[in-house]
Amino acid sequence: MAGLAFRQASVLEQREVRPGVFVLRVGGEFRAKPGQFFILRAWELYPFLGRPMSVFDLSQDSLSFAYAVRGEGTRAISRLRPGDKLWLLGPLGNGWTRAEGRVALVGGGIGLAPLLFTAKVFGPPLDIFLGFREEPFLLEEFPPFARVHVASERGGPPGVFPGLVSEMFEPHGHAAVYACGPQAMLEALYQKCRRVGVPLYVSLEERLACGIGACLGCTIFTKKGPARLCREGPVFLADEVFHGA
Amino acid sequence: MEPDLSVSLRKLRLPLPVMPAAGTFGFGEEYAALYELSSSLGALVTKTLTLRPRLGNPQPRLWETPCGLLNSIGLENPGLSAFVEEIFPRLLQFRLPIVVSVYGENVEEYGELARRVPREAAGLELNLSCPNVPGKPPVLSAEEIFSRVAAAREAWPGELWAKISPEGEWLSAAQAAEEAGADVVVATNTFRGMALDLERRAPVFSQPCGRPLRPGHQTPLSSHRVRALPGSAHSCNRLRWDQKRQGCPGVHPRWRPRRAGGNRQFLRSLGHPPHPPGNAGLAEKRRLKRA
Repeated sequence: MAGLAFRQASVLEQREVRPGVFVLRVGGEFRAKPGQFFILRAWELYPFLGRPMSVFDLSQDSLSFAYAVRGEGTRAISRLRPGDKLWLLGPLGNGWTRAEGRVALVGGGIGLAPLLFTAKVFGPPLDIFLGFREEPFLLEEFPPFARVHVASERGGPPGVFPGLVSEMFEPHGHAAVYACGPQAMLEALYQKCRRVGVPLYVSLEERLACGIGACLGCTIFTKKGPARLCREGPVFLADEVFHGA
Repeated sequence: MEPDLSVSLRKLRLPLPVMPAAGTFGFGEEYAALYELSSSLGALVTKTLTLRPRLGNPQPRLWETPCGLLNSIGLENPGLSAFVEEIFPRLLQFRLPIVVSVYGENVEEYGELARRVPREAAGLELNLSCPNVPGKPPVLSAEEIFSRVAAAREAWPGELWAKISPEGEWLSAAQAAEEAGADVVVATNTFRGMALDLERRAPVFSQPCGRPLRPGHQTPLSSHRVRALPGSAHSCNRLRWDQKRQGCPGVHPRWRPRRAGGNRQFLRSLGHPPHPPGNAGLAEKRRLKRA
């Protein structure tokens, strides 16, 4: 964490990829590991806290975040336009480390946010499984080497699995599974992975305040003891945080 | 020439008039990665420690409000023994006065904590007002404050602080702490508040705490908009020492480090975005609503 500080950056691009879902690209040279996140602050006093967002994509001169508007903070971020300034603190958290062999990345809804950068850094062989409640989004961003399997609760054209991504996904044949999304999806994936002995790494979500491990606002209880989501997480081995059925 | 910003508390001289409130800053090690602590703080006040390790409260622990943050951490800490053996030696490298904050469940625990805190610590803060401990009231009576401070005073020869609640008979509490031998009264711990989840028709925080309105659902609010205690400047004059009027900068909501070069400059030096003073938060909220 040496040299960590809030850093000002300029917005290069803001795209609304579907109603309420945005991709924000900011300029600058950044470093991050897959699964790490930044805290974004585009205001001075209100809202009180910055907003944590995982790295969607990273290039030599820009950093992107994919996010859904959920409250006043994300709404304020969605109103940023090219040239506007914001502050970033990061990269924060532990991130994912690739296992040897074929791996699977599983995302639910906006939980796909950390998976694009992860796929690019991990490289083949990997499979991607994405689940959506309604219309899928951001599929075109994923690299061609990744086989993207899509599920939608609303159904869709041929090739789209009508149902939950946790119903579509089978962990057989994967050395490890990396997942981000709603808690129910993660727990369902855990039950499947546990049965066949495939390790599942989950990226969890809690309300964060300081982002650096000082305030203990994001502590969760793992089988190894209390763990701060922003320091020891947000990625955990599912065996440590979920209980078997 | 560097201006002299040092301030004196009763026995302790701080090189700068700024220090974190206990619990907001961990043990300082995380923030040491963001900036040089010795040139930014007058003292380091640790996370509150208890005799035995505490896991703290389950999630959710935080709830953002338009004017601050409700928290329900529940005194998560590794316990005094682990602190003394592993953490405290590392803190000495910061070359800062270290004030150790402690919480006891009863009078005897305060005495034992005071005996076991390393004598190299610059001060001992008694947390007499944690609003987040299940089954324990955040507001102690003057008699309870007196007995706890007196037990610690007997065992701790150095600078002794008493951190009191802003609720209840806080002036009596401060006077009791003073009579029992506290050098400084820290005004104050957080105010309690409540967040309601309208969809679930239930309070957000489920963990019982202190002295609730309905069992279990008030949690403390940390805010830059909470005003000073009513009449505090006047009332504090009834205490004996000038130092007490200073409050504790880290927890004093009205304190503005203007004499230290202005709030904005200070926050920038910590690597934070510049926060405008005054009502900028509200103005920003109105602007957002209009947009």
